[in-house]
Amino acid sequence: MNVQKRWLCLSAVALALLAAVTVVAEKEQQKATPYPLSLFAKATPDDYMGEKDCAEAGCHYPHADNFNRSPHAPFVRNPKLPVDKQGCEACHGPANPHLEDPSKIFSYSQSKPADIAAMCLRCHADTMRLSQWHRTQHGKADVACTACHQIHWQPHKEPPARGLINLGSLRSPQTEKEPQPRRLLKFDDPILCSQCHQRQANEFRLNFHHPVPERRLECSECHEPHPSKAAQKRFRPIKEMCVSCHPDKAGPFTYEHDPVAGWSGEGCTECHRAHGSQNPKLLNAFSRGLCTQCHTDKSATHYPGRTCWMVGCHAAVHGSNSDALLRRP
Amino acid sequence: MDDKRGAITRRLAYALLTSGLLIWCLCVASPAHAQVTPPSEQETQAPPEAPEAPLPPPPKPVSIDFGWSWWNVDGNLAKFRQYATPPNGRFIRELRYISPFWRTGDNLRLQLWSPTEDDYRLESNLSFGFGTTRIEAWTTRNRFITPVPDILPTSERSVTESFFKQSLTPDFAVFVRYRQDGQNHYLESPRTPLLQNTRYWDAVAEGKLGNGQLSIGYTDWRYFDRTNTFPDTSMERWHARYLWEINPSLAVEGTFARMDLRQQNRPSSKMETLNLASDLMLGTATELALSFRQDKIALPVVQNATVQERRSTSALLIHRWSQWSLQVGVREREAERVRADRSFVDVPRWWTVEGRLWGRLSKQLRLTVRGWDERLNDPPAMLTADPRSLYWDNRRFAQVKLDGGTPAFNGYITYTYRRWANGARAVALNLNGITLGGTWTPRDDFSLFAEYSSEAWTARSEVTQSPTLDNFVPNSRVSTVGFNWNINSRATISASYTNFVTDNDNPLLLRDGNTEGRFFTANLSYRLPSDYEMTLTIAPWSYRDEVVSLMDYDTHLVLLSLSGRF
Repeated sequence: MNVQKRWLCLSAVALALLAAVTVVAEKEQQKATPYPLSLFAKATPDDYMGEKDCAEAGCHYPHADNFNRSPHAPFVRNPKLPVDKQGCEACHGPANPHLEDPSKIFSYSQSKPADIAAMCLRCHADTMRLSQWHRTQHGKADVACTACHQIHWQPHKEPPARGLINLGSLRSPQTEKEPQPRRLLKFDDPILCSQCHQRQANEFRLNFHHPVPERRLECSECHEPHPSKAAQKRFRPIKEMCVSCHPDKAGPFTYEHDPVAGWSGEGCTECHRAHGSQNPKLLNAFSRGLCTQCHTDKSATHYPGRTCWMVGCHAAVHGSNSDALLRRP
Repeated sequence: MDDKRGAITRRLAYALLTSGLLIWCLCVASPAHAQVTPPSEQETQAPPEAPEAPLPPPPKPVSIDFGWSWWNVDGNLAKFRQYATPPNGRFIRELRYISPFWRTGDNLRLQLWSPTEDDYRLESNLSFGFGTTRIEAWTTRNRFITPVPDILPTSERSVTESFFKQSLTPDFAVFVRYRQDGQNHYLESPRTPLLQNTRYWDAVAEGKLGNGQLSIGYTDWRYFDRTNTFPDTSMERWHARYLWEINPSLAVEGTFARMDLRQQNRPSSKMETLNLASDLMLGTATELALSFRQDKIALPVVQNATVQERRSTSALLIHRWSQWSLQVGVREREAERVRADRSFVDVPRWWTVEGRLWGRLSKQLRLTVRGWDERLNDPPAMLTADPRSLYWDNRRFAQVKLDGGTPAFNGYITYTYRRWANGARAVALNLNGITLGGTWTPRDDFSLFAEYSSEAWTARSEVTQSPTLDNFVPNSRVSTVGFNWNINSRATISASYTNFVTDNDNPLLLRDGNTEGRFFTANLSYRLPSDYEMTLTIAPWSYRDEVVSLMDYDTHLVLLSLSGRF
């Protein structure tokens, strides 16, 4: 079977599957709105008591006051918003039923990550939708929005950096002692990210690394935790995101270094380690060992005492517009 | 003689500072100090019947952080400044203004880092109407040095970026971003300097539409090489994406993008991308994610082997039990690769099987096991002198992570295995890595942390004559220990020591192959009344290259800063 027929069959199967799923889904749609959105779907206007009562009733005074200091606060104070998107009840659900039964409120510390995402994305629809969150790596691994974002401001007494930030700490404070309006993060990245991604944090301690510990880059400049975030910070030209900062490697070149050029293989990470490396230029292997892991025929006989790209030999390893052997740009 | 005297003076100065630091610690921690605790601190020792703990003071709008530092570098200054240039002498580290945003619907934030230094950053955020309009702008300059024994000019990167968001409805917004990036990068001979600029802007309209989300955008990217080594390049890209949420259990998302790429005096290139993704909830605990992507690529400029189309299909099933979750998936990727002589189109296919299991072994202990295996079928023919395949035909990854603990002690251990193999050339690379660490908090005011990471590489190929491939894959170790101690409500001391070592056979005796770094950094902070804070940092660092000693440096960096909030 040739390639076109194979794809035609696959497409037909996919369409049939989609049609079947749609029919099933239409039936499912008749079901009630799932929790926690059902808290709002079932509520009547009388179920909302307003933000003042949460604080003034004395039950949630410290939380309410801390929230006042959070950069999140002004966004739920807009009087033009519908009542279910104002004040404490915008995130925790209608409060009047909670007076009768204390369990009838949405608690972020006791909820599943998917439920938390559903609540946050009620308002953050321009960031992503719930189904998109499910497809993120964090969503698949059950990491809730509140694992990174802080809604109620809490001062942090101890730097949680565990020594990651060395030179950079001399230039910028390790902890925010005041609310950080930017992105409502618990800490600035990379401190935040290194709490879970310890292996990557340790790679930044190697001799050669991207200047993340020095605070010249942030994790979010390369990694986008919100996949559909509009106007992403980094633009990905035809190859990988790396070329947004290293545009001279973007090409396309007359003579590409296929298969590591990024068209069919893994691209930059075929040769480089993005976080840090014990080898110069963040390489996977040292000196000519990098090239001879593929070009084994050049290992012992082809100028064995030299690094392939130095001393004017294959100086244009990322691609050339003038030389098929990548010796000149 | 002068050098020796200078070294003695430096050591003496350093010993005095260290002694002073220790004495200060002892003083502020001593019972005598507790007797002169300021009134505000006494207030924090609230009687047990107090209904609530006292709140932290409200944030003040203006803050300034300034001070004095001394590098005291002996050795290779370029290596010391490789990634950043810390302040030397008097400096202003940070100036910040935050409007009292919690009272109104408008917000202004201005932040300026190191305004008098070579490296600086200015950042501003402005939002109106309860966040419906948002403007952000920042500019930054960073100087860095390629660390070589020769003297090279200082490289520089300047980035200016601005961002605008206007919400048209609560769920729909327009975003515009502009970015300019200038780089002057001086490299070691024989490479010529890179003097290049990129300019980028995009406009995106995105938000809820009907029962889903719509995104339409335009991107313009331009590259200018001021040395005329590379052709000036411009790229325009349009995209449209719609996510259709059929019901809470099913969503389908489709994206189409078209990109036109033009280079000076060269034929234009094009790429069209179609991406379909679906997410289906098969009950309350199971979900299925399907995706398909197709790129049609036209690269008339490329004269050697190139790809004219690539496709990727994946399916991922996730099931969650009460304590455990399992994820299994399969992915097929294929590329239509045109041979260099344009005689034939090969279609190499990569099949990847992946899995992930995570959950709790006990209330305090969490386990994550994940891995994938990728195999290449139908490798393309090579038109090189040695026609054997240059592609990896098998890649594997496996990782086991165990983490957890009690509030007093928590730790983690991660084992990572990676393998790259090319059967046609009898090449195999293996990486075994282990990372472990933990934090011990015996008291509320004191915590210790330690981390250790080790990578062991092995490699084999058909070449048995020295130097072999195994001689070029060095091992590495990184260790860190440190503590944070809140001596009292005003004084905090933290210190960390990091050591990295690279074990390299280095058969060509090159620099940067056998290195060791030792970095000790101690910070002592003392909070004065009225929210002023004084910090003393001492950082004796050393870096050694066992082959080329010209790369070595020692520094006894001292930094004293004072921050205040008004």
